[in-house]
Amino acid sequence: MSGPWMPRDGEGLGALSGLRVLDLSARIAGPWCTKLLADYGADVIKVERPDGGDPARAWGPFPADVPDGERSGLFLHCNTNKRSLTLNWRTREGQEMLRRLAADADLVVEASRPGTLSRYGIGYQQLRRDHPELVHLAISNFGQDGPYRSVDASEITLYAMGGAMQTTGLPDREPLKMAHTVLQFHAGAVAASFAMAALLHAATRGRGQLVDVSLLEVVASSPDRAALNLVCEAYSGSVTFNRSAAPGWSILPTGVYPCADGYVHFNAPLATWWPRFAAMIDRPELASDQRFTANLNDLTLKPEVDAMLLEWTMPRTKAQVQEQAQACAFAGSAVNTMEDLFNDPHFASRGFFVEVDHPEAGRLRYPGAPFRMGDTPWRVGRAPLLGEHTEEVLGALGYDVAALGRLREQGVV
Amino acid sequence: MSISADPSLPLSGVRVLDLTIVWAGPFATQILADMGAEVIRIESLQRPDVNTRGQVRVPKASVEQGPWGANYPDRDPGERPWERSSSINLNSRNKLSMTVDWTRPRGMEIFRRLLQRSDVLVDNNAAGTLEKLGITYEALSPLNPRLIWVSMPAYGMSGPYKYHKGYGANVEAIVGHTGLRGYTDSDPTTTYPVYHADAAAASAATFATLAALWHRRRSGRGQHIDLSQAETVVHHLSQAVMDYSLNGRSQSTPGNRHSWMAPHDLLPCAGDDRWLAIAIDGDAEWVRLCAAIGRPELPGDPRFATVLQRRRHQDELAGELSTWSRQRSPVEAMRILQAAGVRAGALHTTREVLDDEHLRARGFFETVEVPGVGRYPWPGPQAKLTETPLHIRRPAPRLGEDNEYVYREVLEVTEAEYDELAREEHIGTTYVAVQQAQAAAT
Repeated sequence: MSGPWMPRDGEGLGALSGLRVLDLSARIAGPWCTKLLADYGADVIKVERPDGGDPARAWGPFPADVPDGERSGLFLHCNTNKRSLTLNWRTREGQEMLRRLAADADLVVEASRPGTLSRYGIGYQQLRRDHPELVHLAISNFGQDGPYRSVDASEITLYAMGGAMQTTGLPDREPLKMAHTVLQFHAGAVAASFAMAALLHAATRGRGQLVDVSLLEVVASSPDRAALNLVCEAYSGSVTFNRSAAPGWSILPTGVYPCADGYVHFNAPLATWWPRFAAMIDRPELASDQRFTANLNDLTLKPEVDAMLLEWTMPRTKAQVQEQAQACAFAGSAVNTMEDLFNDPHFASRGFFVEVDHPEAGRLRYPGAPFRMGDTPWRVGRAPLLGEHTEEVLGALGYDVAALGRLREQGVV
Repeated sequence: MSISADPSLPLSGVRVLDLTIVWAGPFATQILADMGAEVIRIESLQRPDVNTRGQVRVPKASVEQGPWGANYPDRDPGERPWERSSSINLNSRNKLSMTVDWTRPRGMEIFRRLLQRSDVLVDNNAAGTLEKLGITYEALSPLNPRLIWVSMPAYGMSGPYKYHKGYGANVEAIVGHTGLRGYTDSDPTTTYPVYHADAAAASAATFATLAALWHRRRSGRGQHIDLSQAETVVHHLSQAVMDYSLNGRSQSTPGNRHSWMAPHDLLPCAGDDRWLAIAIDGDAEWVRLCAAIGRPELPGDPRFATVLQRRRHQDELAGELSTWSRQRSPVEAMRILQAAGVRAGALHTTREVLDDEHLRARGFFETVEVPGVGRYPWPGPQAKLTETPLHIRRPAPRLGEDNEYVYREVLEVTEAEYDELAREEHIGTTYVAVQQAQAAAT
């Protein structure tokens, strides 16, 4: 150990080994960003507040639904391969420790309300004074400036404000959000990318910078639908994705259909796919039927086409439908439950789920590498216990046992 | 130096060959292009890329009324629809376009030469598409050991689904997202497609590219990245995935509601199809909400006193709150609640997002004139960088717009070779099928 950080030389280890990340973020987007960094080799010191730590420790799922700060499935998943240091940055001594840790860090990640860290003397402008190469990644709901800077938000309010929610759901009912906190995860990965770009710049030019990621802007520029709709609105005063239009592009099936043991999903965007559709439903004679081929955009034919499709799907299981669809190069897929996913032969064959042992939560299956790098490994590791590495990190900063005892009594760590 | 390069940007000097289609891949390379990389879209005059540029001939009926028509300025696809569609102009800003028919030996030779002079190759075609042409990492890596190749097909480069056809919404179904987002009182046939998988895969692919570039600085070596779009979305479903892992429970859709926040809902507002999203975390915020809407007695109602009680009576709760929200516009309701420290967000239409005072103040939209398309506000880069500000430096390229630069300056072909490649229809700016149709018409 060279002080609190791992040594820089990490030949043969992960792609990011040697990278030092001081993680002041909590909840989901920030921790997901630093999990990506840590899993691919970075040394991430996660700073948690002494009273309970990262609020995500209190968020489920928990085993048997019993809350326990060391057994939150969400926290365990989002914080693998990090070290946990408890520290109260509202205290003068805590701020001093953070400054000393930041002095040898490459990247500081935070997800506090804009302006909070500056108030405690540990904002970007303060930390960079002695460390011009430092990259500071600030993830926030609305960005570091602008009229909504201090507005409170949550996954559902961001999805609504970003323009995407208006377009998901049935036309005569309320719009619907996506599952859980998928936007936070997407934003975390976007943030990790821009932080890496700034780190590359700092490594070659010797200048760090502030990277300001706004969740609202991540939603509004998502390729899912929001960004495309923004262009369409500017183009023509109307949008491509709206709640009444979703299945309305072609008579070819788009969306979810029932089958013998559940549901299947089809996505047929191209008129040239009609013969594949005919082959899939065992009606090869329809492949050249002018009534359909010449009128693929005539949605009045859709009920008839859907009826033919249902006649074929209803006696088949979702696995059978998927197999036959794929044999005909038609984009048909099973609508899986989590149980289906964990037992799916494809994910099993790729060894996607990995087993991770944790002293409090036990041995569990986690989603594995988000992507596989041919020459550098992805690390299987576990999330830290709250404050598990406090002594290790502060010891390396020169605090002895007596000093640590005093800091603990004063509520600093 | 390329015409799109700005030497001060984080990725200046990094050349990316872009073989991507549809959304996931083009969005990943868009981020790289925004960061300053020289991203070259490799296109072909023989095979129009309808998934990215849109159809070559757009049916009149679908443009005039259908939702797809909104993809063209004033619903007019014009003479060259593949240069006017929303997707190409959104996802390919800051990129270059060159044409080559790599299915013919000479085109393949051009592609190989280009690879030797590039840093990154990104490809999200169905797995096997390039294999069939003899393009594999093993074959290409010796030509350029520094090459980073990101393969990002729907299900990855191995396993039983390697060759499966799928768009983002298929991936959503396979990984379980489709079953986790829908109405609680309807079956999944009412669940409309979303394409979050495209977003998930794109952001993971961008990060993977940068991680590999970081490693290459030290090792001098590139590497192959096997990215399954499906696996990236599984991570985004953490709460449901880990619940199965911990408890063996397959969650069903909660609709707009939440496992421990209540109320957590979409409330109807004054006007047609107007809504307000709220997410109330804890009793203190609940008390503030009730005070702000002039119903301070609600927290005293035993049905709503604790979060457990509120969760049990969510429909009644929504009814009480709707009485208040129905009398206000979403923005007015949001202002009142936010002033009281309550998490509320107006559901904005696309027009409202375009006009949003906050996004405008942040300079999120960048107005750029695109030749043959018009002057429009485009969503800008996904992050603000203080030292190396990122912008839309040039609009999306017209088909083959950068052939001169790529062939003459990057590949250094001779004058004679350039003319020959043009004669053989590798180099050009109009699809062969369109040229033929035009010739037949005259």
